[in-house]
Amino acid sequence: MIASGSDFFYFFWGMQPEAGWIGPAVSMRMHCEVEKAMERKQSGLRRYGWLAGWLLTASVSASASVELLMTQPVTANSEITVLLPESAAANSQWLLELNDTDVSSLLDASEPGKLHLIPPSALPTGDHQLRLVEMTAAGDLREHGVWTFTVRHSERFREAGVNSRLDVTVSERLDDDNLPEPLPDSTVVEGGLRVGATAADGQWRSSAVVEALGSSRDPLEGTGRDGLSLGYVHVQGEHGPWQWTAGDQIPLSSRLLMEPVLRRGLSAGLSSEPLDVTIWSLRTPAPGGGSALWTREPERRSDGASLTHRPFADAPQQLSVTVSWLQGEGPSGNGEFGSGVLSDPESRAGEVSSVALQSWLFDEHVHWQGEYAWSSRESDTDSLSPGPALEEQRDEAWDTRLTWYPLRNWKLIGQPVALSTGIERREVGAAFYSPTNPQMLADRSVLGGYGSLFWAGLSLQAYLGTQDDNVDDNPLLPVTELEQQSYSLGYAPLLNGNGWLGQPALNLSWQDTDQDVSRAAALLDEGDLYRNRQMTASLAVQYPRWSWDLAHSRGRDRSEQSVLSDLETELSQLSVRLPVGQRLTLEPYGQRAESMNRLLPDDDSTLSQAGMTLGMQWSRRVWSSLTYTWGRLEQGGEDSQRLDDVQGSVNWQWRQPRGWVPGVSLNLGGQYYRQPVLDALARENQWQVFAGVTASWARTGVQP
Amino acid sequence: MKSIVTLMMLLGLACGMARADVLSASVNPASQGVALGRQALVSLNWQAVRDETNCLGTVTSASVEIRAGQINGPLLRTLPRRLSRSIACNPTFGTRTFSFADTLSIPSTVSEQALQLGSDRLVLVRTFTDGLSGSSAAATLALRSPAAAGFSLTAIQLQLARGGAERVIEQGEAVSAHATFYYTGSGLLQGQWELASPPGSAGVPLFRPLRQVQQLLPAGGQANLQAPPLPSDIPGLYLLRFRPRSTSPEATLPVLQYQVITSASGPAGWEDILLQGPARGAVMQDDTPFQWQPVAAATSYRLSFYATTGSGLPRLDGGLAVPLQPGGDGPVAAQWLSASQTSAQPGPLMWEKLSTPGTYLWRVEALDALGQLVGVSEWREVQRP
Repeated sequence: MIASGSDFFYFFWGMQPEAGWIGPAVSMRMHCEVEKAMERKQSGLRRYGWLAGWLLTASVSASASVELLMTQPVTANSEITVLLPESAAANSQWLLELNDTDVSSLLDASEPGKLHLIPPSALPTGDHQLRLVEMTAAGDLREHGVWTFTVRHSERFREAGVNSRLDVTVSERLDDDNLPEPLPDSTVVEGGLRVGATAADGQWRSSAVVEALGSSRDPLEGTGRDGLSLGYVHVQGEHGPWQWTAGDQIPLSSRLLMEPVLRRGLSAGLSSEPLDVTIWSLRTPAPGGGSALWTREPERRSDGASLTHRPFADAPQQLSVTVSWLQGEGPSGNGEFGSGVLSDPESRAGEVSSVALQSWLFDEHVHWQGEYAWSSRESDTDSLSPGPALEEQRDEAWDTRLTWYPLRNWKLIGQPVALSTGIERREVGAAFYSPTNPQMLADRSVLGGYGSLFWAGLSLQAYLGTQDDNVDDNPLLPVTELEQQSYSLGYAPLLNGNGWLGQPALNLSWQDTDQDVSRAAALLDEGDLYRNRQMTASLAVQYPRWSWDLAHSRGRDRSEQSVLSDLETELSQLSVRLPVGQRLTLEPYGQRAESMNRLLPDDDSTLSQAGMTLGMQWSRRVWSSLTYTWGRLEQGGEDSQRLDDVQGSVNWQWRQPRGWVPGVSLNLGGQYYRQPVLDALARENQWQVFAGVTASWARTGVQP
Repeated sequence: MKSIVTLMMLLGLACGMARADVLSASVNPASQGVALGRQALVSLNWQAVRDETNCLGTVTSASVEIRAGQINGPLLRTLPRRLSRSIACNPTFGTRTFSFADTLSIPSTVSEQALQLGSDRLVLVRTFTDGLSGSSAAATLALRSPAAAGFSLTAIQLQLARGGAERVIEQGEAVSAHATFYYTGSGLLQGQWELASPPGSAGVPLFRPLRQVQQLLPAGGQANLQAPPLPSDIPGLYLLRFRPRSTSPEATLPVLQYQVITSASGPAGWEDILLQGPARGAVMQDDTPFQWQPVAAATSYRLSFYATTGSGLPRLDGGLAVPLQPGGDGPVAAQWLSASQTSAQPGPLMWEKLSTPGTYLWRVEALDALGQLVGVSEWREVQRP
């Protein structure tokens, strides 16, 4: 019913208005409005009209009428009764779906001719859809009825909800030593706000999630940053088939055109089977480092549109066609604080278009997807560099993948088997460019094959691929050919988890890459260019209360031309999560990473690292945490770096938030950090101690 | 006679002054490959040899010229990156060698300009002078496709699994993040995940290492690396970054930040629901039992199946294998169960929705009487044949 890609919003789906502050009778007073399904199109789109009254009497099947009853007054836990038709086949089973969720196991069929459902948890406000299905003895599914009923929040709104949390912390740095300059103020105020809200009535619905961070501290890491930063914002609205979004989003799923990262901007669209149309205008850089929802500056913006058509209404998965276009300009990223991106700040304006098809064929035994894209990059005649102005560049790219699932319902020694195999082909021109995917590797031609087999806890996966470059056959550039093989073997048997073996999962993988120069140019000679191999083994074991995992990898990396290198690497790591009793949790870990340069032994290095985190819940309101990290780097056989870090804190939640009265927490903590230089006379010990108080507010629900 | 001697002395002095103070300059490596159309980070070691018998004390190179094809080729760009060192002259030494470590960022458009002019290489030219005269050295950067160029990180992108690089998290919520590395060529990625956490982040963030990374990257161009499990038990600001071992200490690295705010569930968050079956990666049918441990506060459970994004095996388009992530706008299929049921089979209605073969992620959520979440399990993958 309420489905959102945001994890937070999905959690919000389960929230209810607090009964306490608005009274139990009022909070649970929800009108039961009867709506009748007027028609059901082949595409599955349902239109609803309006019927007053409290008796639900909708039926859309060709069989005898089926009735749905809900007693008055309707509450979030009201019993739902379905009167079954008399035409049911013998030995059939009745199934019920609520909001696309199977609730058949909750049904009480003790009374002949009736099904009773009492929701074990309160239903949220809003529209709910019930679907009655009969499964015959032969296994056929027959739909007998679809109803929509509404649990209203109030007379004004069908849905209305708010879930907000705000923390404001004042920290005082009590003491410190040897901290690097510049030092922030000793008193720092910082906080975070998270708000989720929903409102709906009639044919419209709106929702919003906003996350904001604020700090009184000076800019971190030497980069500029607003005192208040809008970390995440997503506001969405719909009215019938129309929808719009403002904030962080990914409006396009094309792998060639757009990186799958959130960008902030505006989009609007129409979703009416079999068509989806979307237009958008987004800031080209990834969000963060500022609060602007949109920008008028064309050099920092990309605009586009996409249209998706599913021509087969009865089987939309059989074929979908998506046509997309976008244009953009501006930097691909400049390391803005909060953006998380460090990359080339230079870019040019350009536009790109694509046609993508996706299809499930032969009773969903074959999946095919393909995309063809073409791009143009504008010349930079306005550039102030002394070099020549770059000409306009046009190029294309295409990508196709075919996967076959030959055994859909096959068993081997009583255990089901999942098998798939496929082939992929991709070519990206040297000058292909998308403003919203500027880092995609261009100038390559890939052919690959893959397969996987799963059976009785065993898994086998394999991939073989080749990649050529210089697809335009530019005589100035060399031609290289790369071959890659990847294999993986896994075993995860189903054990009861209580024995000494727990629930283990073992995995072995091997990867081999070989790159040769097939045509010499640009200081490369024909022959071997690069070779690397890596083997990894890992074992993870889970017990009812604790778990551990162990991994070891070995690799060899050789560069045969230009910069010669021959490196051998090993990495081993062990981590454990061990609750002790009900209050204490220990999480130790250890790592050892070795790198051996066969050409330059003085470059050999060994890095060891270990740590432990202790979490202690003294009582329901008092908890503490202590983390210790130790590290040591040896280079050329001698210690070159050491590190010790200890952090600890004690937190006491004095009171929980209640209404407008904030909750209060007190905390005391500190950090000791030592990274001495072993050949210096003095060692640097840095430490800082804090005391802080946090005020927190939490509001849930909207008064009717 | 006196005037002739004086003139000869003056001439001799003038000749001495005309001798080169910087006798020669060189660079190592003299040549390397860079990717066409990509920003390139180039590390060079310049050397300048000074004549100690006739010098002024400071050897300087004010900038780097980028030229197409050869040392006298067309000028494409001038990078104002100054190298300078002052050492007083000491005539007892015949010559003195100055070394300069230099890391240059070559803009992506420069290589395209060179190719447009018909050149297959860039030449970086530095002139070292002591104020009187100087010498030049040149390093050659051969242009190649991104797959054949030297190993170089061109971009690092950090984001949380839920999206974005600046988020607010409730105390006890599971937090995961990953880094996407864009690179040219092939090579060894060495580095470490670092975290600055409360209480230290309230003052001067001192990053402690979380995990070391040592990963061979083939010429795929893009690799995703999962961060280790991140904490959210203590409210406050958390700063996460990845530091490649090759970066200089003063380099500005991208930083991901999340603010943890207090929650009603406290530092432990929601209760972990232990899954008992099927095992990770199992193949399911419509009667496969899904089992879990009960949660005391639950009045119902929700079993959900999600479609997945990501691939489990390294491929040429994605570099390293990445953990599977739930995709789509919600579950493909779900089942609602009472508190007394800690085992369920998909059943006909769910199986109807799970018609598409492939890998799914499933999990169990526990709800209380008000419909609030009180427990959640880990994600576990299952195969639908």
